[in-house]
Amino acid sequence: MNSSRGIHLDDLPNEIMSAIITDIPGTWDLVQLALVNRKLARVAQRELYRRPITVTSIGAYSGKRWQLPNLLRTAIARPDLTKTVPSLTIRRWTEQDQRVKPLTTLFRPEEFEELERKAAELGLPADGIHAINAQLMVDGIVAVLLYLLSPSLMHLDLPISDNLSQDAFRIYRNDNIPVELTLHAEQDSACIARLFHRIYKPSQNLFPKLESVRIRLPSVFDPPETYQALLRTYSPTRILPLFAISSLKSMSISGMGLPSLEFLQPETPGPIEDDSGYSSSGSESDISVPYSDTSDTPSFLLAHRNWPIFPVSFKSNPTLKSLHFHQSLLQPKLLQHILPKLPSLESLTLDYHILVHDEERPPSHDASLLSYDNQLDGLLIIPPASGPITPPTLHLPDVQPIVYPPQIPLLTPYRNTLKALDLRAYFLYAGIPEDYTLDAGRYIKPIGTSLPLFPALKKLTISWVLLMGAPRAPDWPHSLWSWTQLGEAARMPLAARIPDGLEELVIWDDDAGGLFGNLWALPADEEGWELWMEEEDKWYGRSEGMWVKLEEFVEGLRDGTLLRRLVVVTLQDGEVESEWLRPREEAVRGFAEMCGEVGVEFEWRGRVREFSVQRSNDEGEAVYRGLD
Amino acid sequence: MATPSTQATVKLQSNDNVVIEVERAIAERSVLIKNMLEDCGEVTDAIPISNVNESILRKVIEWCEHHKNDPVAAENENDDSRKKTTDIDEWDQKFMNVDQEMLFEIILAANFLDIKPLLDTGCKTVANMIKGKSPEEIRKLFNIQNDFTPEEEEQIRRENEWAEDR
Repeated sequence: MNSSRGIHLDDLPNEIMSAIITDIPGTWDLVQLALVNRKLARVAQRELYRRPITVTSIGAYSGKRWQLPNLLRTAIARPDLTKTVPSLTIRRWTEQDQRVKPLTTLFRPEEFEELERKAAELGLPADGIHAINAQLMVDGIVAVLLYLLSPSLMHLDLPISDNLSQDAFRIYRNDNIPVELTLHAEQDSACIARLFHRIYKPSQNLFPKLESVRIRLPSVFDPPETYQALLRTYSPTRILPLFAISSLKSMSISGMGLPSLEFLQPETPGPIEDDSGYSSSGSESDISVPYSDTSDTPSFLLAHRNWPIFPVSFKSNPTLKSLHFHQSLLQPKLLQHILPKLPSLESLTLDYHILVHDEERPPSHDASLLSYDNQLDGLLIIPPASGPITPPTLHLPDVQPIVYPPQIPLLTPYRNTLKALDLRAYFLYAGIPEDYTLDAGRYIKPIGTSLPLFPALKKLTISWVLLMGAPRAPDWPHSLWSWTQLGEAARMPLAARIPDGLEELVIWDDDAGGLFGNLWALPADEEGWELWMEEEDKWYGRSEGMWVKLEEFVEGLRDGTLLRRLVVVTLQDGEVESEWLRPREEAVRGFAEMCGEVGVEFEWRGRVREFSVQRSNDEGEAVYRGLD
Repeated sequence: MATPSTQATVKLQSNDNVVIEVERAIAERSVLIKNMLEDCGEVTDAIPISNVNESILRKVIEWCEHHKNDPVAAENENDDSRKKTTDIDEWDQKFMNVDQEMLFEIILAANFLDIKPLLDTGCKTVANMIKGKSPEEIRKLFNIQNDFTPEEEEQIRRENEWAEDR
């Protein structure tokens, strides 16, 4: 299809050239096209900087060592080009072992001078500039880049791990574990924090178009070796200013853990100053993390009881409609303060990943802990088997304050506006003594009983155990006793637990095996003894009781029901459970037909919580990583 | 607006003065012609298609005939759906298997006549020709002169270096 005469590609009008280039999906192809001639360079580059940009930082294993500083260089040298970037994702910039290459080798002198000007404008300290130059403080590079791109950004995806090297360095050093750290000990996200705190200054108008933010803790970090280190991951002060962005509609935070060491040291934290001129001290007018219920809180957390979150000047964010907290250790406490500031909230997602373990078995020696290393929300610590049985210690992922009747203090203001609610709990257990009973009912039961109070709710995604509750039982294992004898939760019809106006119900059947004693596993016969359903025609496998309750629910639906869609997600631990625990196809098909008869679309999803062997550690042991 | 016409065919006149009679429904794949017919009602004279010669006009009509039963895209349909794929169906691929000059002429005609699906297919065809090629291969394929100075080329290379990783 050669053209030796007449019209050439670069003769086409700009609008047609733009349409052609829009059809080229690959960034690499656009870069090649930009090198063809001047006209194509203009069109291709215009398209390139109107697309979402993803860069990977200079981690030793990334193979894309200079993407981040190279993008910064372009943002400095060609602000006319980068002023249209709508979306930015920066990957792996907090990873250890960032390769060191002075920026002066990548930047021309005038570009570096401009970088220094921008960094000074941003208020980064002089030694910060030096550190940026040596790429010892990657977050300085990220901060300046965000600063330069902030006017056009609509979406920001920023995995952050705070004080990674600093904390890791101390941890490993204290434990006398030889670790090769090429990352400078000053690496932290102080520059990001400084940038974000400018959001509080109305005159700055940073991120005027930002609509969605996703903050993630990267999971590539080697699992810390100490208990405290496991809990200590990310300092929320770094990102909370984002809540004050007036255009923000959606915020997603994953893996936010506890404050880092610098905040843990003083018993009474001093005022935190920033260049915004705001000062957050421990005064009554400040909003701070209250650890009012300290009975189950480790002492090293108590230092945070007056730890400031927002400056007093920040009143609310009326634009934010969707909030997603995923695997965030501090979420219940933070929510107490964030939710009242979000009057327009329509969609809320909270999921909890809770590791249960025996106090006699330190988590650091447990492979399943490693698999969830820094992604945990909390630790449920079971006391030693010997001695009197005492209630377990549940650290922080206490859902009670969120939805607790009759107060339901946090969500009550949203009773008539909340349209979508996603509440899920993942219980992972390791080394639970066989004679131990978890009394989780007191944490879970209030949720299910509160949900009917939300008439505006259209979509509900929820773990079965959160919806129906976990009844108290005196002895382990629960499954040896009839589920009909397990109290209110088992007797309660599902219809009584959900709002009448619900249009979509998604149930996560995250059976926690021994943790709940297969609570909903088997229905009982007339005498209260469990039926072994495998011998029956219709057998769902695991969670038989749940399916029976669902059948009862669907049978009770009448014409005119607003429910349009019902989804069951069977979640399995890939290593632990096997195929036979999945519901039989014919049983699911029969249930789907039953739903169809009342006009409800049904879907079943089998989902395996995978544990893939990523690599081996120095001792040759497999290191696992949880994938969801 | 004029009274809706019931005429079955319309005449189109290419810029080299060839008149082609075509079913009205086929001609109305062109939004330009459709609007013209709606505005003018009964049109007995040939409609001049001033930017398109006979061979291209016949080619465009061939495409319109083949796609005459396709659903017409909603006016407010944004470009996002078009961006999602560069797949082209088999008939269109064969249709677009012409020399570059004709390909570009078809694209220009589709643009002039406002036949968006044909324009999209043409643009995707060219995009697919570009994909995976080096600058030199693109220049050779499309017979494009490199008008960069070495300094300009180096500058462009630096500006987009962050995106070089495939």
